[in-house]
Amino acid sequence: MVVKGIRTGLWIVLMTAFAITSGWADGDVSLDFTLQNTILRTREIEYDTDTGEFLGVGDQYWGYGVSGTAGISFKSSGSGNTKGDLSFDFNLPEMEVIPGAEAPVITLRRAYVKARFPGFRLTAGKTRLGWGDGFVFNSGDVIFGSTSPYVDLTASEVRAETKWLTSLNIPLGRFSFVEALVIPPPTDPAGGMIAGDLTRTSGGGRIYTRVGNTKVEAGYMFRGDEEDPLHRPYIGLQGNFGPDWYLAGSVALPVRGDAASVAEESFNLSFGLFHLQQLDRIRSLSMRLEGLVMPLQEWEEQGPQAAEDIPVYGLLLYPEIVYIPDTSLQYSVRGLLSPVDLSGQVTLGVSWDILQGFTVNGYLIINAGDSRDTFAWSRETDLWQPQFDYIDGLAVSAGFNYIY
Amino acid sequence: MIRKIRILSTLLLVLLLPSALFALTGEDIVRKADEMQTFDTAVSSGELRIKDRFGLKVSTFNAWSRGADESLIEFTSIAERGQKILRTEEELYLFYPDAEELIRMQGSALRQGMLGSDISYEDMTGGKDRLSKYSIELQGDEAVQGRDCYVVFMTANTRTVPYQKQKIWIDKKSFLVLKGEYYTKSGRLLKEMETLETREYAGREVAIRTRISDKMKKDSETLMIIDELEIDVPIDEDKFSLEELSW
Repeated sequence: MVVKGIRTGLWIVLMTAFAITSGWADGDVSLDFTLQNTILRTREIEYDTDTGEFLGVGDQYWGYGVSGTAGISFKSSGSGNTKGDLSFDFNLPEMEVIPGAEAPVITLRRAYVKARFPGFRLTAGKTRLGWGDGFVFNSGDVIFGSTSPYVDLTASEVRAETKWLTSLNIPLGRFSFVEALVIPPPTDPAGGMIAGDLTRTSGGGRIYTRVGNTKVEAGYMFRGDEEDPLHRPYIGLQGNFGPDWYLAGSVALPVRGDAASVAEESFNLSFGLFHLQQLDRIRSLSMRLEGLVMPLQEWEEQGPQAAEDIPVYGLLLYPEIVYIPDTSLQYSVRGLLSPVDLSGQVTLGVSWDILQGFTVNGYLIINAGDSRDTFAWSRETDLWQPQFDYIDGLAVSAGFNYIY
Repeated sequence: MIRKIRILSTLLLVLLLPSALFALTGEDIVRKADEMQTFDTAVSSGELRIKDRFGLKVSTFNAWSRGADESLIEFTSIAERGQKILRTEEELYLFYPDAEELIRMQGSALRQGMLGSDISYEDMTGGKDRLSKYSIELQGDEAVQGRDCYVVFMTANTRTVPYQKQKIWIDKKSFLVLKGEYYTKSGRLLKEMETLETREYAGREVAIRTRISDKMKKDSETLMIIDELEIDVPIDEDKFSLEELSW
C-alpha cells in the first residue's frame, strides 16, 4: 500500500510537472478544498485484516470524524479551439473505512482534452457526460447510473463519477446535436491483461433536440463492462407547464441469457418537477420533486433477512426545498423517501457563502424507518452494507468549502 | 372686450398647442427608455462586486447578446469559471463544465438574479419590455445628478416581476434611467439603484457603473461594472447555440 502510495505520488508530481511545462502554466489553476467535521451514530466494522473483506458489524457507538477532499485543477484554453483539464482529488482520512488506507488516497478526477473542428468536437480522456435529466434520479444516465437511493446529499455534486472515454459531438443546428462515445474495456493487470478485452468495449450515442417546446433526448449504450454485457436504450423528455418537468425511461437487455427477466428487473422511469419562485431579485424559493419508478419491482414491503436479499422497491422519491434569503445564505431540506416500506432520510442543510470562495455549511441527517427498511433509524446488523450504511440513524456535520 | 378675450384665448391656444401635442406620456417615456437600452447586438465584459458586512465578492463575466431575447454569459472568476448561461426568449440553458451537464430551464428561472445578485439576466442583455408588465404613471420632473429627469411610477400588472412597484428617474435627454427605487406591493422600500457612470456608445448613453443597495440590510450593495462594451457589432448566430454553451 505504501509503495502504491509513493508510486501514485510520483506519478502525480510527474503529471503536474508535465502539465505545467507543456502549457498549463498559461492556463488556470484552481484549488477546491472541502473539510467536514461529523458527529454520527455508527457501528464498529469488522474486516478481514489480510484480505480487507467485510465480515460484519459490531456494537453501535457515537463517533466523530473528519473527512474531505482537496482538489487541484489545471485548466487550459489553448488556442480557443482546444481545452484541457487535469484534476486530482486528495481524499483525506475518511469515515468510510478503507482497509489499510492510513494515508490520504489520491485519485484522478478529470484528465481530458477537447478539440473543436469545423462541424464536430472531440473529447478524449477521463471526464463525465451528463445524459438525461435529474438531480438524484435519472433513468437517462445509462453511462454512470443514477438510480441508487444511497447518495450523499451533503456533497456539492451528488453524481460526480468520471470515466475514461472518447466522445464525438456533432451539432445539428443551434439547439440539437448527436453525440457518440466509446469507453475502453476494464483492464485486469493482476490477471495478466494490460489491455482490456476488445469485446467488452462500451459505446453508444444519443440525439438531443427539440420537438415543439419539448426537449427530446434518445440514446443507446452498449455496456460491455457489465459482468453480462447489456444493451441500454433510453429516452428523455423535458418541458414546462408552469413548473419545469422532466421524464426519462430506460431498460437493460442482456446480450445473452433471459432477456425478459433482466428487462423486468431493470425497467425504470424517472420523473422530476422543478419550480423556482423568485420572491424578489435575490430571495427565492426553489422546489423540486423527483421520483424513480420501477414498475415491475416490489410494491409491497418485504422483510429481508440478509444484505443480499434487500429488495428493490417500485418507488423512490426525492423532494427538495431550498430557500435563498440573500446573496450568501441558503437553507435546504432534502429527503430520500421509500414510500413502499415507509422509510426515509431527511437532510437539513445550511450553507453560508461568507467570504469570496469560502463557504461554511452544516447538515443534520436523520434516518427514519424500521431496522429492515430501505432507510433505518437503527440498521439490523445482518443487513449492514458498509458502502451505504456508515450512518446508523443520525449524523450532524459542519465544515467548509474553499475554491480559489 | 369679448373680442379681446377671444383673441387672447386663440393666441394662448396657439402657443400651448405644440407642447400639448408633443408632450410625452409616461408610456412614451418608458418605451423610449427601453428602446434606448435595447441593442441589436452587444459584446461586453465586466464584473459584479457584491459587498456585505463580511467583505467583497467579485465575479467577472463575458457576455454576448442579440436583441432583447438572446444572450450568452460566461463567468470567468475562479469559483464559477467556465459556467455559462444561454438565454433565449423562452428558455434558459445552464452548463456546468465539471459535471459536463447541460440543464434546460424555462418559466420562472428566466427571471432569477445573476449569481444571486440583484442584477437580472434582462439587465445583462439590455432587452427590456416594461410596458407589457407595468402600468405607468408620469409623476413630474426632478433633477438627479444635476440632470433634468422625468419621474415615472410603475405598478406591476403581473406577479411575474421581481418588484411590484418602482419609481424611476429617466434622463430627459438620453432616456437613461439614472435612479430607481423598488418597493413591495405594500410600499416598503427594498432596493435603491443609482447610475454612477455612463459612456456614449453609437450615439447612445449607456450605464457602465451601476450601484444597487439593499435597503433592508446594512452595508449591502451590488456594483455592476461594464469594463468593455461593443454595440451593434456582428455576432455569429451560432454564438447563441448549445455548441457554444457547452464549449
